[in-house]
Amino acid sequence: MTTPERAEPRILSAGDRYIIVEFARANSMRMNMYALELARRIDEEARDGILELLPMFVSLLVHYDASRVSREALEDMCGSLLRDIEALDDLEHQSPLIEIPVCYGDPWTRACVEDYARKIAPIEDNPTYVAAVNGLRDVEHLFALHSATEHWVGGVGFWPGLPDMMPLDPRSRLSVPKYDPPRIWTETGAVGVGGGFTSIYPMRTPGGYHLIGRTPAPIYDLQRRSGPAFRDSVVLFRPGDRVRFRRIGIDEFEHIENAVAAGTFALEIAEQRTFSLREYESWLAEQEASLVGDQQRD
Amino acid sequence: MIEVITAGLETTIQDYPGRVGYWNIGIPPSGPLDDRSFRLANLLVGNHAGAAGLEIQLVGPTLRFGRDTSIALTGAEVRPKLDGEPIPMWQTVAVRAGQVLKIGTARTGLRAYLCVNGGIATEPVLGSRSTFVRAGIGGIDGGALVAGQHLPIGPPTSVSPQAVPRDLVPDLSATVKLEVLAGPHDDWLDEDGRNALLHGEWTVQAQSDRTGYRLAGPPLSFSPRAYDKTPENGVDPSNVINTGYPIGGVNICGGTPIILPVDGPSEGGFINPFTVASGALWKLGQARPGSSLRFTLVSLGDAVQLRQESDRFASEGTLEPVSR
Repeated sequence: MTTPERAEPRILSAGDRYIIVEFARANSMRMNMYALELARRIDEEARDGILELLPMFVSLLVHYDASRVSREALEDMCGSLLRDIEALDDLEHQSPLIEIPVCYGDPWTRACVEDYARKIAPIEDNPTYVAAVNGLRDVEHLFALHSATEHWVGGVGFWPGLPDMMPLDPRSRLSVPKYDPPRIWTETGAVGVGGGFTSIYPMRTPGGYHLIGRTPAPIYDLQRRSGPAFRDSVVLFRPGDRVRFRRIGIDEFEHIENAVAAGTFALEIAEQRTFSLREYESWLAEQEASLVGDQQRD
Repeated sequence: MIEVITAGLETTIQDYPGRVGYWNIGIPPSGPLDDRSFRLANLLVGNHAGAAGLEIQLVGPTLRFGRDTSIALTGAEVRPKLDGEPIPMWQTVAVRAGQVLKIGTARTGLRAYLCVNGGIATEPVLGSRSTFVRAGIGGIDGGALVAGQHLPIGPPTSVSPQAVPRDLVPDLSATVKLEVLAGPHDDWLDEDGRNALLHGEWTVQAQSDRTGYRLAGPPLSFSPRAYDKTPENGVDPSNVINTGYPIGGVNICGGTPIILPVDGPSEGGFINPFTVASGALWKLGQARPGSSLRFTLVSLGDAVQLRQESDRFASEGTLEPVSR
């Protein structure tokens, strides 16, 4: 049973131009929504000198111009906003749902992993390994679990447009070690899992997550041609977005890939919803109780 | 137009302060690593301090100028020659249409800056002309200079020849000493670990570049905080739940400190126990692979003052007129 935690945010110094508001030491939806809410309120204040806000899981990085706003004034503002947020009855976020087509166990990420195995270090077939370390029956069980839940984008970054997501359904939680040493390159569109998170690689970047599939949908587009789900940004995802992975085969993968190349592919927002923390925590408690029940029965 | 005859090792178009406002979608600011030298080069040619210019890394390009103009070179000593004749750095230099500038190899320091009157006038991408080569953003087609390219230049303006006084030109042969502030994760190192980082002798490794400055040096040790954490933080003591990174963060990736420069990652799952003061980051831009580097701990007040001094140095007040 998850007990709602009280946020005890700490303001951490990060040089002379940044602070980090750290909400917790453990990951949770509650703390991520606190971070999103604080970011929104700081943005609304429109205080001169605030340059960038980066919510990421259970923290918020604030980049500010020290010649226009002092650390003291910034900390006072955050303190005041945090007290306002604490007083709220519920936290809500306008969360769009985006459907991402994914070819699980695809040949392209397999080739990428084999390249690593040849050149860097021996490594098992990634979906097989991920299924095994999580006590799943086989890769089909892994793919079913991964696509059964919505995934919540806890933050975007490390590389342009790269999302880090957590599963909303606790029954789909995984725990996956990372590559050591990391890969030098990852196939564009690769869907990877690491720690308890899922990521999608926007282009050929280094990386450490285990690869379980690939999407033909662009998630980073400087040309801004890939559809309304991008919301006029060059990057598809924002923190607080929800993602559902829709399983496709190689034929459909190639069909979508051709449409992207022809400029006719457009990613839409599947659904817009007011996501309520209270409703989610209540639902989550039920799911976790049934998980414990299953374990007791076994 | 400036014609690129040879491109140099990795020469890129940068402006200052770069592409600010996109950290939360993973796009770094880019811009010049030695921002002080860059800004002075612009001021020496009558541009505003942030106009687009070239960052030269170790080995410089050879360029032909399409019109009469004024240029200035600052930063690492690169023994520039105009039509075969040496020209001074840190000073406004007049150039005639058709002349060829050959920029050599940096002897001390690592990065030099070339600015031209009018500024480089490529199409901005997301509000900046700065180049982020790793993701193909900005510059010309997202990449470093290539032989055969023609760089567009903005309209000419009037220029009064000026110079940085010799005694104010920075000595780039000295060991780099970086002022750092404690945090955000200084409590993750134990006292021995903090002492090792702050008082140890570090060597800049060969793989260092605009995306990360990797250091070799003493082993670091961690406090109980680094071990007493929930599983989703990760198993290594330097692992933390993914969090935003400050530019200048001294990132501990496994046991290796990696200082995060202007093309570094915006977030990740490794701690930053200390952060380089923003007014000291220019020194990182001049640190050569294989060279020594040390840290010195400063307070927030010291760091704010250091930044003010740095900004003052990179302004008109530093320059003195020269006669033609």
